[in-house]
Amino acid sequence: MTDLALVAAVLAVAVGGGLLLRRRGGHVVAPAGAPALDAGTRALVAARLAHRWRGAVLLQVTAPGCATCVAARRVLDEVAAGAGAAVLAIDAAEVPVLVSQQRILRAPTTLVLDGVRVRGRVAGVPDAAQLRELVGRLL
Amino acid sequence: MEIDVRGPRVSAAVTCAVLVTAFLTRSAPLLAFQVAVFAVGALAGLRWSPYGNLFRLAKRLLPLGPPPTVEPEAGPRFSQVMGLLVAGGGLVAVAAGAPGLGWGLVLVVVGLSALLAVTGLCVGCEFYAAGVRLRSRGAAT
Repeated sequence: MTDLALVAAVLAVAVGGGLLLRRRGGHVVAPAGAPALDAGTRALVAARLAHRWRGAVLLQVTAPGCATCVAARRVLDEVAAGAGAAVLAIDAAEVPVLVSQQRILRAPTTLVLDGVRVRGRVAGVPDAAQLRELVGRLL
Repeated sequence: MEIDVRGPRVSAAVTCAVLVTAFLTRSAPLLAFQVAVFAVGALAGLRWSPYGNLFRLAKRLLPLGPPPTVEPEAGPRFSQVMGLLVAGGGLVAVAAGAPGLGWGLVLVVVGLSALLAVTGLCVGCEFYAAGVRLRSRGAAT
């Protein structure tokens, strides 16, 4: 393989792979059986949101040094504002039970809460349209 | 310290260009230059990053506008460390007479820096975040 072809191949694989990952990351999936939050996380969310916890909540699990969390948060704020839902960001370290129960592997991972049930989850920067559609069905 | 999210992407683009040139010309000195650039950012902090400073200069001279968002510097700085290790390893391999391995490692850095420049996806930052999560999980259990 000529050098130039090799470089082109490396660039194509790296960038192509990245773009694909980014698209997969945005998909909103509905976990089977709408699992309920564990007691600890429930208490934490209740404490942080207080009176704002009325309907759907977009719970973003973050980690330090997570650059995409900022971009994801913007999508969440936008969707929540349009739908009257609440947004709460929590560091993964604060909710270890949630992280292991929901098998959260990536930061950011956003859980769409309907009351205490997890109705949806998105890894990375959410697809705004899909998220809006799910939240709209809940409220 | 919070940094302009565009900084690491611009630096990655320059890094990619430098390393592609080094690879195509098989220039160990140019590779060594890039390894040194990684070292400065990794060891002294992003404030001293040569390409980062070029970007800051560009912001002063050109109407690039305010940062669209800022991010903590920890992830990108860790990526500089990873770049230093992989590109540095490549340099050592080339110097030790294993150019296949050496330039292969350089191409890995080419791929990852291109990824960051074009898509904003920082693999090093993801590793850093995963490392933090693992440490916190260990502390919690």
